[in-house]
Amino acid sequence: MIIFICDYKIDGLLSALFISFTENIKPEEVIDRATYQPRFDALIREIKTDKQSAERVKKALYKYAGDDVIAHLKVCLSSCNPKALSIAFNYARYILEMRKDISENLSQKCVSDFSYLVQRVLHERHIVSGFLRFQESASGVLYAQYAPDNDITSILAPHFLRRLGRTPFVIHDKKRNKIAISDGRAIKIDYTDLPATFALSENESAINDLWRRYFKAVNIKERKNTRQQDGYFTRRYRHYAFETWE
Amino acid sequence: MLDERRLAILVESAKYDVSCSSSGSKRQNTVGGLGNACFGGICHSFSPDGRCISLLKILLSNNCIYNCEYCLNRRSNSIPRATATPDEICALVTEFYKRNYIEGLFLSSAVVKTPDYTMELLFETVKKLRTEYHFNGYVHLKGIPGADRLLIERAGFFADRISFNIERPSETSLKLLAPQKNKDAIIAPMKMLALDKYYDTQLKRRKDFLPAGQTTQMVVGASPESDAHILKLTEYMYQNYKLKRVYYSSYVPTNFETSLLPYEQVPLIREHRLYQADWLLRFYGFTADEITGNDGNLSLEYDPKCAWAIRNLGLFPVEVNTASPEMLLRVPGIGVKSAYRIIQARKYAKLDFADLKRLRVVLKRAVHFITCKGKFIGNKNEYDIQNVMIAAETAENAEQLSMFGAESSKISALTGEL
Repeated sequence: MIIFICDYKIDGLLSALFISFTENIKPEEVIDRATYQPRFDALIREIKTDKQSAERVKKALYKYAGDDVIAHLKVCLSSCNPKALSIAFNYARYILEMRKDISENLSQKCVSDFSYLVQRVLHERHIVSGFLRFQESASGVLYAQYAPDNDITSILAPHFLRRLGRTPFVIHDKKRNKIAISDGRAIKIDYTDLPATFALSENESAINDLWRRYFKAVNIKERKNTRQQDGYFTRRYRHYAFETWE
Repeated sequence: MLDERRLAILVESAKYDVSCSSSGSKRQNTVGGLGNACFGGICHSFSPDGRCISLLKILLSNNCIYNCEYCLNRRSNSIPRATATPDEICALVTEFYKRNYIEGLFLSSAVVKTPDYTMELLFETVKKLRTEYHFNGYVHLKGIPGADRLLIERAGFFADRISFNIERPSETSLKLLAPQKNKDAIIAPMKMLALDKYYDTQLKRRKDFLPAGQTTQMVVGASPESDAHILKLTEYMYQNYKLKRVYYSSYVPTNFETSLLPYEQVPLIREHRLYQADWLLRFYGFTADEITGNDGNLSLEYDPKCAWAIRNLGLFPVEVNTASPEMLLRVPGIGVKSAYRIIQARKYAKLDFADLKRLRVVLKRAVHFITCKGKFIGNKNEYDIQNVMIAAETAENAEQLSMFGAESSKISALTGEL
């Protein structure tokens, strides 16, 4: 049993693919170097990230599977699934083996696993784009904090950049201490473990009260269906949706 | 800014409008503007009644000159009344929007003074929102029946969607319960919005005119019309008025002073089945006649597609590796997405049941209606299939029994107090 250890980055994955093909090795698993724990039942192969070989693999993937393939692999790597690296590796390897776009061959396990994982991440990005709540600071910057399952901050922020126009905003992933900062023109991704401290705008509290009042008033008591509410608006996403707090 | 009291009054009066979807529009943000529309729509919250909150659903005024028996805002009803100005609505929308509470605005109004006056106020609000507040989020405007067609047309250039509620599934019920409204005043603007001149053959809808089209809503169960009647009407409207959606609302009694309306609420399951049937009309190639059974009503025990398949067992089982897309769509347990996946995947290899599971086909329903590589593992007896379908439906809606099911038991378990 052979295990590849590589960097949990797109170039790390592509470097692993390069080695796999040039040395004709098909690893059982591909594991992130940062989380790897020594095992006695496997032969370990450490892969160093190499930009040049990664570029060659990237070119081949673009050639066989179209323009979106690298973006999809990146989405897969942002999944919280501990096997995401292996799943992305197997999918990309299958493309290179078949030398064509196989994204619709869902009867293949490697394709359906990959497709499922990508869908899960994109689904979370979609629902969080609705459930995120911004607060306005006194200086006019909007600030939102959340704790998603998957690492979606970098694919979520462009949605708000398009939407909020020139209004600067910060999205803070509390779970990973990751922040997306927008000045209204571009987005910068950074890491911080400092808590956000800022003064709220003058009418922030009044707007919050209005929203709470709206949430209460729009409900039809005679049609109570909290089961459906729980199904669509799972409790883990309600942590920052203050209107639902009792 | 609108105060809490008036906000509550105007929202309470608007909440029985079902439509809250923000889909169908791809409006882009402009330089210096605020907002855009997401084609698939985005839900921002869910209220305890299980409904999605996507748009700020509010009336401009609930001071109505009409006295429709079924309506909460009828003139004779003793409820608090309030009115908001266009500027108050616009300010509230932009404040809520930038905090990501909402996807846009759903603006309606009771008929104040005259239909034209009311429609003009609605038009003024949406125009202000777009041109002065530079808001590019989603706007759904409720049309006022009887208003001038020019006003409605002009509003269509600013709103993403306009809807006229047909309220009741038949003219007789409408006459009885809303004598001041007439069918033609509702139908005429719907016909107008469906005119070919607003369409681009390539874009299918003109980019700058109602990109999300028009919808309508009817209340179910307040009058005696059957599901077959409702679905026939729905089908007619989809075909002739190019509607994007028809919404159904289970009747909730709000007027206990009239003998013309039932005192009991209609079960939500009826509304749910109508939505399932509506889906079959729009995406699965069914006709209204096929969907309803002999008694004219939908089965409450299982979904309309299962009911149809059980009535037509002679057409099944179908072989998934060779069946036409149209037939695959008619198999219970296979939806639009899974039918597409099957068609794509079978180009590469013949599929078996394990493959279907991987394609996320609901096998507990589908196995009775399909074969894979000629193999059939389902049940052939109609009665048995019915039972399996009912059991599947019940299992989906069942809750795990808990030792601490009752609230008092939960507290007792935590505190130890008996």
